[in-house]
Amino acid sequence: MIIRFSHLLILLSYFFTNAIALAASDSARLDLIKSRGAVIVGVKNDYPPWAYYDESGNIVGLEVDLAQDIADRLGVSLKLQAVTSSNRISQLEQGSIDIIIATMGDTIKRRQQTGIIEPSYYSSGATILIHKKSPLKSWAELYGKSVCLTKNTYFNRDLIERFLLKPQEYEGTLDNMAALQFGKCSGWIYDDTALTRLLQEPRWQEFKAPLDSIMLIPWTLAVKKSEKDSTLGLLVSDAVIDWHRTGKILALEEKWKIGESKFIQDQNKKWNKKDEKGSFVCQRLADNSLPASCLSKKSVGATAEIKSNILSQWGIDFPPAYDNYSLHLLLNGIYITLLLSVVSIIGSLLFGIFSGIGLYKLPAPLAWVASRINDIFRMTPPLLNLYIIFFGLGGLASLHYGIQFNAIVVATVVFSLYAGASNGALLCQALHAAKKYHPEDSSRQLFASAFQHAYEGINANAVNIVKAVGLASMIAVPELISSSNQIIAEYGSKLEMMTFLLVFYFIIVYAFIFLLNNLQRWVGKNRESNEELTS
Amino acid sequence: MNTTIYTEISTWTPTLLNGFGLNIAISLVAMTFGTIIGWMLASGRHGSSRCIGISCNLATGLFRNIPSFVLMFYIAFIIPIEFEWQDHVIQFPAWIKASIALAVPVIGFTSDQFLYLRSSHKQNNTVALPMFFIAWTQYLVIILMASSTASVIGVHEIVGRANTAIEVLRDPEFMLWIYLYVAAWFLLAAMAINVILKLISHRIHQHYS
Repeated sequence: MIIRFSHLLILLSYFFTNAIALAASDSARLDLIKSRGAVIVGVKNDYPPWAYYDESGNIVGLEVDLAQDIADRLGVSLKLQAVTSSNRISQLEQGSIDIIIATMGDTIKRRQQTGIIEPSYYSSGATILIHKKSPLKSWAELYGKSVCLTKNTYFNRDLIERFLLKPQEYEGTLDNMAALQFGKCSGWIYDDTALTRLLQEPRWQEFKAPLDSIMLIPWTLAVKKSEKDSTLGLLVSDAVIDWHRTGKILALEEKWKIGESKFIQDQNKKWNKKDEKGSFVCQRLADNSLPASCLSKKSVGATAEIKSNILSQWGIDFPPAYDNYSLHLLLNGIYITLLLSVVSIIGSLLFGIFSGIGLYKLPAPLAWVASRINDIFRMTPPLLNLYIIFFGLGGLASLHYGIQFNAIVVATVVFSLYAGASNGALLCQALHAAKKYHPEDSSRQLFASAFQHAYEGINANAVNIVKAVGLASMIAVPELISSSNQIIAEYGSKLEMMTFLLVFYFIIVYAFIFLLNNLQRWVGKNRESNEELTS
Repeated sequence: MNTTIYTEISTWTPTLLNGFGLNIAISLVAMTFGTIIGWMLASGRHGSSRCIGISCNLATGLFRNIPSFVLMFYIAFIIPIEFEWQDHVIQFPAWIKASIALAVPVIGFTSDQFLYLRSSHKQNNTVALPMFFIAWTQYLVIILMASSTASVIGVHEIVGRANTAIEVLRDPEFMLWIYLYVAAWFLLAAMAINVILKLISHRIHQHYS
């Protein structure tokens, strides 16, 4: 025991500044571990390759290797205890285990319950497994769809709420596989680390996981809440930093055939970055805390300091106010929304003039046919037309000819035709009326007065385009609704983003009404002054 | 279109038509409640109290200009699926949320129409009421088209059911045809409403001329 203790002291003085080493006795738990000669780590036993029973009945896995490393650093032997997602925190707080290394995600709730260790050692998220033939290209296409989920997964509730899913929750892998094969659901959303591993198995060759993971959550180690800032907590935290610096987890990913994850690669770079003086950019500060910029995004989100801004004073969590990435997403969404509106309004005017004059000029039987074709665009839901062109025609085009349809172009065409067909019908009516009352007018004069008469209706159709462009989010156009949903999916600020969306749309619709009305006045004035000149 | 797609579509037709019934139900619920509230707003705008008049005007402007699609998302996200009230769990099914979202533009529209109806009634304009009826029915067609967006908040109406059929069959060719088939039902319904309208307005013209 004495030998072990001195061993530990050497280790401690190696890893910590003298000040911390002097405070070694502040951890009752550490004293217990030392006197026991073993550290008890809670791991899972059903989560390959992280921690699972091998053929001989021993728990092995990547997390077991990490637990062994902690034991080595403490200079004690390792004792594993199997825990589950539902009992790991209570076991830790009751004292039956010393440390949790059990695929545990970092959440605000858990931070209140237990001693979450920073930095996080791994990160996982939700991804979707779909059939190879499925046309799914973005998360937005899942809105309102039936999706298979594995029961009791941490992100299920959030996923259902954020994507308004009709969930079918199954117990395990086999149930979900059967449900997928019988087409009971569009896909199976589950932990990306588990799904990427499944895809390597031969029986899953019919499936793919093409989307980027969402709802990323960092995984963390935990010690008892009261031990978080003690020597034990700091020692574990420093172990994690050391794993990132030395690339230990990258090596373990290779050993357990998981494939290098981007999160771990980024962490490896981050913790090895040095400033011009040659010291690490990311290292423990004098007060034992870690610089906020060195922690992963979600951890930063959970620590309130970086969120503090004018809005957060009132408890409003508006990610674009404090996060550059979501601000960029939002601005891009606004830009695409405005672009789509303006281009579609111009398109609807052009198509309206074309079809209006066509309907008016064509001989009776042809005009009748043209009018019915016009009706098709007017009397079918634009959402369905987006689906028909983008998924229906687009799917066949990519299958047979390898042509990919551009979603923004498809949306522009659909909105232009929808409102343009109404404009055409209005113009045609107005032309007939103008001809009736002024039969002697030239066709140019007829058109001008017809346009003037139909303007109110054309104006209303233009405003309707602005109201409808949000539909483009259903075919993965990155407009404002898409980008807001993406921000919601990452930060969970539902109420704030949705309210912003509603207010923004309200303002933008008013702005377009104002502009279009002024345009009418301006055009009207110009016309009058032109008439004065010619008369 | 080959025969397998034809048989698939005919086997799915009853399911799809039941879904279309939901579209019609949502549209009618939205039109009914929207019209009632719109009438109340119009009365307020026309009433003697200036304060009520201004607030009813503002409310009409608000309801007129909020896109129902965005509102549908808002309502779906903000109102929980179910909530407890005095030990009772009150369900809040998605189709009611969709009806609420679609009723909002109806309120704006009918508020304006009723106001117009009142002023023309004062001028003894006898065609005003039939004109109101025609405009109302045309708006019903617009709302029926918009009811397809309810699928994105999980309402199992016709488009939602078509999406289910597509998931089950996983045939890109079938996908195109079933969407076209669903579109045809919307077209048919809209045209039927228009034909009835034309007959009625023809009658009205005869009646008043």
